[in-house]
Amino acid sequence: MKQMRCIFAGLIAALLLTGCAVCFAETASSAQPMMIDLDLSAMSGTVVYAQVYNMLSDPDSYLGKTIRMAGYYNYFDDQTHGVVYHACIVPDATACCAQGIEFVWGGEHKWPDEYPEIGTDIIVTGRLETYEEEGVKYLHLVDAELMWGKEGQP
Amino acid sequence: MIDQLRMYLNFPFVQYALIVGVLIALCSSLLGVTLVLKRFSFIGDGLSHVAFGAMAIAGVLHLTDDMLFVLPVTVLSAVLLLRTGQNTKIKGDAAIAMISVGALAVGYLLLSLFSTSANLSGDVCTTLFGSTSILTLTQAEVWLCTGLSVAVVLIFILFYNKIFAVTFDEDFARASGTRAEAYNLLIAVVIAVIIVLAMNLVGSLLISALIIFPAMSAMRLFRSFKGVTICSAVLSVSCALLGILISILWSTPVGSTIVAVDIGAFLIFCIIAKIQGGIAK
Repeated sequence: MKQMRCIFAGLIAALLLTGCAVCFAETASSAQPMMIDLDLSAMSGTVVYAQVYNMLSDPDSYLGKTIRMAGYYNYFDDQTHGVVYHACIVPDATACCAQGIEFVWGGEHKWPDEYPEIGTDIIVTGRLETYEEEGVKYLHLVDAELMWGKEGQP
Repeated sequence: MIDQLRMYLNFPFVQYALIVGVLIALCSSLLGVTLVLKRFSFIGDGLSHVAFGAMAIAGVLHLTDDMLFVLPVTVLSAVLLLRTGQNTKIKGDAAIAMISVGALAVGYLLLSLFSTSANLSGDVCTTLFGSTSILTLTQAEVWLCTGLSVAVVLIFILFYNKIFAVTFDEDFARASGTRAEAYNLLIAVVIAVIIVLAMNLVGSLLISALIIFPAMSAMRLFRSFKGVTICSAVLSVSCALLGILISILWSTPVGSTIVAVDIGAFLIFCIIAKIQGGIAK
C-alpha cells in the first residue's frame, strides 16, 4: 500500500499542467459556501506552488484550516485495496515539478462518472486533515467542494 | 496588484525569499568584480556544477543536511581550481571545464542510478534552474544563509585593501609583502560559500549570471574599483528584488527571471555608457 501511494505521489508529481484556462462557472456541489482560511485559487502559480510545498512540509500549521486551491485533477486507482485517491495538482513555474494535495469530495459521488477527466482544471475547497495508513501520515482535504469548467463536466 | 503584492509579502516564505535573495545578490556582486577582473568569470559555473554533483552524492547518501557535505566539497574544489594557474600541468580554463562537466555528469549519473525520488527530472530541473527553491526555504536555512552572507560581507570589508591588491596585480602585491596565496585561498573559500548559497536563488546553471552581469554592468559606467563594487552591489540587490517580485506576481521561474532582469540592466547600462561616450566626444 505504502509503495502504491509512493507511486501515486510520483505519478501526480511527474505530470505537467495541460489544457487551457476554463470558466469555473459550474459547481458540482450544492453545499453552503465555506469560510475559507486560505484561498490559493487567487494567487499566482509560483506562490501557490511554494504554499503547497510549505503545507506538505509543515502540515501542523495548516491543520483544520479550510483551504481553496486551483490546479488540475488526477487520480490513482488502487485496485489492490479498492480505493481511488483523488488529487488537485499544482505545477511550479517551470512545469518540471508539481505538488499535489489529495481531496475527498463531500457527499455521495460515483467515480468515474461524476468526476472530471484527468487534467481538467479544478478548484477544490476543503478542510485540511491528516490520516495514517500503515504507519505513514498523509494529508488530504476533507468534505471538499469540487468545481470545474463546462468542458470537464461528465 | 499592490494589494496582491501586500498579501504575498505577509507570507513568511516570501519574506525569507526576499531576505536571502538580497543577501546572496549582495555577496555575489562583491566578489563578482574581483572574479571578472582576475579573468575567473567562469569559475562560478564550474563550482556550481561541483556543488550539483556534491548535492547528488548527499542525496544518494540520504544526508539530512546536505549543506554539511556540499559546502566542504565546493570549497575544496574552489581551492584546487584557483591553484591551477600555478605550477600545474592542467591550466586554468581546461581545469574548470573538466571539473565542471565531470561533476555535472557524475552527479546526474548517481541520481539516475541511486535516487529514490519519485520525480528525478523534477529534482534535477529544480537544482539546475532554481525553480522555486528560494520560496521553499526553512527558517534554519534562512539563518544559515544570513550567517554565511554576513561573514562574506565582513571578510570583504576587512580585507578590502588586500583583495584589491591581489585582484589588480598579484605579482606587485606579493613583492610588496602581501601574502597573495593566502588571500587567493580566502577568495576561493568565499566564492565557494557564495556559490552554494546562490544555488537556492537561481540554480546551479545560472549562478555565473549573478556574479558576472552586475559587475560588467557597473564597469560600463564606473572606472574605479570602489565605484564598480558599490554600483555592482546596488544593481545586483535591486535586480534580485525586482526579479523575485516579478516572479511571484506573474508566475515566472525565479532564477531565470532574476537573470533576465540582470541582462536588461546590463543593456540599459551599455546604452547609458554609449550616450555618455557620445556626449564626452
